[in-house]
Amino acid sequence: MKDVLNSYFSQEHERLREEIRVFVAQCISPFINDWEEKGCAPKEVLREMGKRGFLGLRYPKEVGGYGGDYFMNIILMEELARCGAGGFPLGIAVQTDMANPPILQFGTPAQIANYFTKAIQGEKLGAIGITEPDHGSDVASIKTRGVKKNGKWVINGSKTFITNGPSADYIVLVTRTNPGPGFKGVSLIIVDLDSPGVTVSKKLNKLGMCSSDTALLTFEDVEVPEENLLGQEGKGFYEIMWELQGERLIGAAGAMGYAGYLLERWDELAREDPAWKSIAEKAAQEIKQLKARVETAKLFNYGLVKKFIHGQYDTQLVSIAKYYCARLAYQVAEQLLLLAGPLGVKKDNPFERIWRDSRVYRIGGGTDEIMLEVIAKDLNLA
Amino acid sequence: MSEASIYQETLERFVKSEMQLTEQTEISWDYFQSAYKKLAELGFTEVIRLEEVDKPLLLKNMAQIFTKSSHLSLALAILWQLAVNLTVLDELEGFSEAKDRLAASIVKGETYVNWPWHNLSSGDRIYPLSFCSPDEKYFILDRDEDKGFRVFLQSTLPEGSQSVERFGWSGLKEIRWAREGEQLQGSIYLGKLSKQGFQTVQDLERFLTIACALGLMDMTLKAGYKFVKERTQFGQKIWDFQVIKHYLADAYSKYQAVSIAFAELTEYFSRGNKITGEGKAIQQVGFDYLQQVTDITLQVHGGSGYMREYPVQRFWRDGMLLILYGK
Ligand SMILES: Cc1cc2nc3c(=O)[nH]c(=O)nc-3n(C[C@H](O)[C@H](O)[C@H](O)COP(=O)(O)OP(=O)(O)OC[C@H]3O[C@@H](n4cnc5c(N)ncnc54)[C@H](O)[C@@H]3O)c2cc1C
Repeated sequence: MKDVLNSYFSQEHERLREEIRVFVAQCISPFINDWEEKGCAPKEVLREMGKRGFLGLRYPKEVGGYGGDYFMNIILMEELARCGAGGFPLGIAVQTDMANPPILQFGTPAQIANYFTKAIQGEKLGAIGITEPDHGSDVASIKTRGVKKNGKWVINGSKTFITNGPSADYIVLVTRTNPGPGFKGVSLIIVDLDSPGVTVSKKLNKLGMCSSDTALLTFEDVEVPEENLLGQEGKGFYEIMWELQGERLIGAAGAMGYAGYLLERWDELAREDPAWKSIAEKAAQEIKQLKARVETAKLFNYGLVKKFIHGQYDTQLVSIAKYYCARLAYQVAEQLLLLAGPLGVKKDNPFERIWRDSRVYRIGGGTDEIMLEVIAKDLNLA
Repeated sequence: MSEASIYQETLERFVKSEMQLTEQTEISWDYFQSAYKKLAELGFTEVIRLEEVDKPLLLKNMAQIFTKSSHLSLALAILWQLAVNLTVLDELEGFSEAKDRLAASIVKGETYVNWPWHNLSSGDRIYPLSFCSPDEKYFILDRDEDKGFRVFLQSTLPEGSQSVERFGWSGLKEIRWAREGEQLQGSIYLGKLSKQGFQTVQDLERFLTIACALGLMDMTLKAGYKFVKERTQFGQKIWDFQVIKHYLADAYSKYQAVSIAFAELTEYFSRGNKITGEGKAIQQVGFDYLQQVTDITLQVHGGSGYMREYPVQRFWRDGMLLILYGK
């Protein structure tokens, strides 16, 4: 299967892969344990990644991007996985594929210049604010209120589980600008997080993904310039559903990056360490099956990326990718940890860490159950 | 009311009043010692040695009460002192004053001895239930498993020993050192543990891990029920989504199947039978279900399940460690 997977990547892609691999080995892996301990990475890393173009790989040069294609993004995710932790790459994925694409897609030239370009150049960090303490899966019912007053939006409400929340410079906030219920009154507003009235109410202590910081944010009479409305007033629900497709696709690619990395580590340990070797020999069939599943899933993802590059969004297929890859990544991590037995108990060994980290894929960006709802609905059997 | 149920009720009351821990409670050596000593003062640790007591039933109940009411680490530390260590000493052949003194001091909570859990055939000695206190002691088994073991008590850690931080079992660490070239000074010989005696200890350990797995399943299911009854999405309690109902019904069925099978096993064990094969089988199923049940209860919590302030993530981590060591 290696040959067909490699066939998606040109020499330029491979050069980029090598460059990112070296960067990860030199500038991320040696520090990742420290960042896991501290709960976040220093902003200089973001700036450095921005300078090298890694944050804007698939975006056009005119807006400050690298001018590459989506496969470069896949490379970034697959290579970041080699740092052996999911947290830091999650923060990066929020920057490259969640908070900022809606700004490029729906934003004004000024918003693109002030937020998007600065984000992909590593000068500003973004966050995406959908989830609220009482509204997670049910996005259409969010309550955070934005009211127009004297040429400003006045915002009140709270958002939780926000990745990059404690350290981000701005957030793309899903806001209710029309008091009526349901998705019609929802709009996106970009909020600078140093605005008066914004509070990091709680930094959240998580089960995994520890090198990314997560927060509960509160907005109390926060005044935002009217021009920070992103896209069309009242169309925020559609816009955020558009965003979620990209979030889910990159989530699927990231998940397979980790599964592939773990299987590679497994083989390395089996070569280097007699204790692992004997386990690996007994489990050879199981490992072979996991590899086949991961490679098949990668091929499936690459197929979707090809469609995505041609502007084809298939909500059902993206949901399948997110659901399938999230579960598979977790299955790989769990099965390898179980095989490792007492060799896997040490905190922060890659198997246990990614077992904890990968658990979130089945929750964030739409839970397994919500993905199944979408997939089933699109079967259109009624 | 039978003696066993009076005992169980009193123990339950004790655990409820003295050992109710929050997510933030740090299990420490001092905490363990004070809990254990209180148990000893109230006579709970003594009962285990009485001839007439139904030991498997008592241990099953104790394991489940401790696991259900507190952190797994505390339950494991108490059970391995009380049940495993005393059984090891009972199984040692011949009379030895050192052995009797040690048993008395374990009952009183004056000595904490680490029992090696795993990998007797590997190059390392592995002690998973250590608080890393300098007052702890270690059972050392020499290597001849076929002929039985000679058992020693070691009071200090040999050079080169490491303490391993893990992803669960808060407050406890693993102590390990390589057997190759180890220099054990000042160890006291306690007696010989026959191959059969060793198997008795292993059967008991397996028995206790099943009881703890059930305790964890019960705890995590209760946390799941509480959450799904309170949490609302799309204008309805999430309990009202069919998938959530089915998940929890499936998890509950698995819990019940193992729970009742284990109660039967306990009765069989109480009648003086060996449970090696049966214990292995039920443990395998129990661990499998423990994983599934802790996973599903975490899932029904959505993002909250991933946050440290909710206990389901702890049951999920602690359960996995139990499986990794216990298998
Ligand atoms: C580490 C982490 C990082 C995150 N980062 C961000 C971020 O940056 N920005 C952001 O906005 N959000 C973020 N999230 C939030 C995440 O997207 C939500 O947790 C997720 O969408 C689920 O919402 P919830 O937690 O409210 O769970 P709920 O919606 O309350 O779900 C609870 C349970 O009910 C089930 N359920 C709900 N509705 C249905 C239904 N109709 N049918 C069947 N079952 C149902 C769910 O599947 C789940 O099992 C993050 C979460 C985590 C854990």
